[in-house]
Amino acid sequence: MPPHDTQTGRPPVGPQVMAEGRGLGFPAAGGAPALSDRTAETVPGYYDVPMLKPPVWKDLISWYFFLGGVSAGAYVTSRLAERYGGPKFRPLATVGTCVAAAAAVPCAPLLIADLGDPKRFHHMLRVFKPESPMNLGAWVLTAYHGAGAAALAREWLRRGKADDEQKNQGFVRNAADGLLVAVADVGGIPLALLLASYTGVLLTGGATPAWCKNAWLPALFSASAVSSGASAVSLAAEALGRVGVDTAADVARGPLHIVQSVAHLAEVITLVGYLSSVRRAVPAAWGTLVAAAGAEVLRRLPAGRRLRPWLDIGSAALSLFGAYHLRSTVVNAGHDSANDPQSRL
Amino acid sequence: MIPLAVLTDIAAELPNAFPPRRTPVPDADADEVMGFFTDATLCIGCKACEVACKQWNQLPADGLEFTGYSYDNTKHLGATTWRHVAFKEKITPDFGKWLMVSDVCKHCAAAPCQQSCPTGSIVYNEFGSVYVQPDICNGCGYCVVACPFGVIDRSMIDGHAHKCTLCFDRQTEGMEPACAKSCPTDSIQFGPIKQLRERARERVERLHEQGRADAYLYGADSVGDYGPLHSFFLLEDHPHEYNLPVAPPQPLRNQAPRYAAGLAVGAALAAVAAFVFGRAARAAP
Repeated sequence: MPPHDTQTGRPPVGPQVMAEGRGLGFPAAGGAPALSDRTAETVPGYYDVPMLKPPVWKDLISWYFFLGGVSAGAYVTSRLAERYGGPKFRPLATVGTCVAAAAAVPCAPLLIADLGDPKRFHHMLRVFKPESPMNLGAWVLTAYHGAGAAALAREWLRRGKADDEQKNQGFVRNAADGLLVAVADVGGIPLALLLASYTGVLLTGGATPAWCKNAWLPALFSASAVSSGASAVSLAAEALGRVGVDTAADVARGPLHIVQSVAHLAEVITLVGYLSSVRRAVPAAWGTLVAAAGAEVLRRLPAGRRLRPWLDIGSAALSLFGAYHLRSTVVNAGHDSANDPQSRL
Repeated sequence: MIPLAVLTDIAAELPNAFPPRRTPVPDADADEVMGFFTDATLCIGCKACEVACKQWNQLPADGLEFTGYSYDNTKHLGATTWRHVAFKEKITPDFGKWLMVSDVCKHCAAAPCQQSCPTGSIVYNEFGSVYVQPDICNGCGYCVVACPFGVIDRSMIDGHAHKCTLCFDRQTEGMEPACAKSCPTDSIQFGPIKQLRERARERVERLHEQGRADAYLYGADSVGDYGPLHSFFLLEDHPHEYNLPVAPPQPLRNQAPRYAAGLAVGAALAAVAAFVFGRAARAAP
């Protein structure tokens, strides 16, 4: 061993531990821990240069994650409301389908605007490469637009018709309706669930410590998508009810509230799981916890017939804020951890 | 409205996309797989490799910033910096030494940038190197976050991702990469990595015989989630001192549980929705 090692007490480095199969092959001579086991505090880094490159993504990506989630959540809620709730929830399904479509419209433009070379956006679809979450996401988003269009087309064909009228209108129209339902439900619901969760998987494919391989993130984004999607449907139904459109908001309130509450609970559990697994302070995450709790409290406040819809609107808006804040918090946590010279791998 | 010029630009980009080129993950032990062996004990910090790389690849200057980091004003690799000479004055209470090594893309087998690339722009070329096809990249930036070595970055100039090509163009003409050619001390060596690894192991043994017990190889065998890297290093201190990760993750490996977690929560909440709407439908009108 060269003399300077013993003089400074610096833990020696060298090949001995390679034989012991420890880490990269740093020795643990003299009882000192192998360098590979030591933390950032004991080994200086390279000046204050971060080890990782910060993401080049802008805020647009948080808005896309948010709107994609709202769209997917509203889509699943409204399709299931019609499929399992029957004619009672037809007006709600119409509102929800329109909300899902409206939230989906800005998604692709947001993604394209975030590219370094937007003119080459179509290169995303030149290969089918599901091992890349972003490529899979591009295909899912494209296919989801198709399913959403089928659901919208069906709403358009059924406009102003009662349910029994719809059932007997000739073979061609019935077959078209059946086909559209199949595309919208059998195709659309799984696609919507994938759209809601792939964005989480996408982030976990980053090497930044706040995202890397974190299985809580997709679960968190799924839960947040359902809570914010149901909230968006609730918000639209109540708001349209205020301006005299019949959205059957009174009938839908009960089931929608249960969906929102369960989704909020799942969101809080997965958020706590995420925060405890990243082992770094993410103070902004409190915003989402408070928004979810506030939304639940607001909806449960005793109120008369006149005040009820306004409390629901406020609750839904708070839930939507929490969902955007969550995406922005998680994205920013990734930026911060990549820019932190202390976060060494 | 979208100007006509933009539409014609998009049309002009269309043929570039086809046919997609997909190549298998190279076998690190194959004879034709080329790579770098960078020896920190031979590096004199002259930065000839940085200059040769910029000259050959026609990369623009990064500006003149005085960092105060000893003789390193380059700081890190980037879209227009494909070789970076780390230069560190390591000072302890009674000892000081210079740490120098020329950092470069590791050209990982099973590279996360290649896997993350949604356009298929990043491929393995016939020399087993990870290569970004500049006419395909659309600047999505996913490779930038996927790389645990902080190598690849998106250029502010053209919006595309760039990194070391291992001088693909020179290699096709039978020449060695510009950095290895210019290195005055042979600290950067180029060749089939199988041979380089043997040469590097001999070098480590020789250094140990000379009493330089700290010498070890970084990336010649497995490191973190990775098998042998196609550019590996001989170092004399902890990797963090050179800004290299001790346990680089391969973040895109084994994604199935993550998809499963996301879809399970989504499906469970969808089942709750189906149940509550179904119950409400059965309830008295």
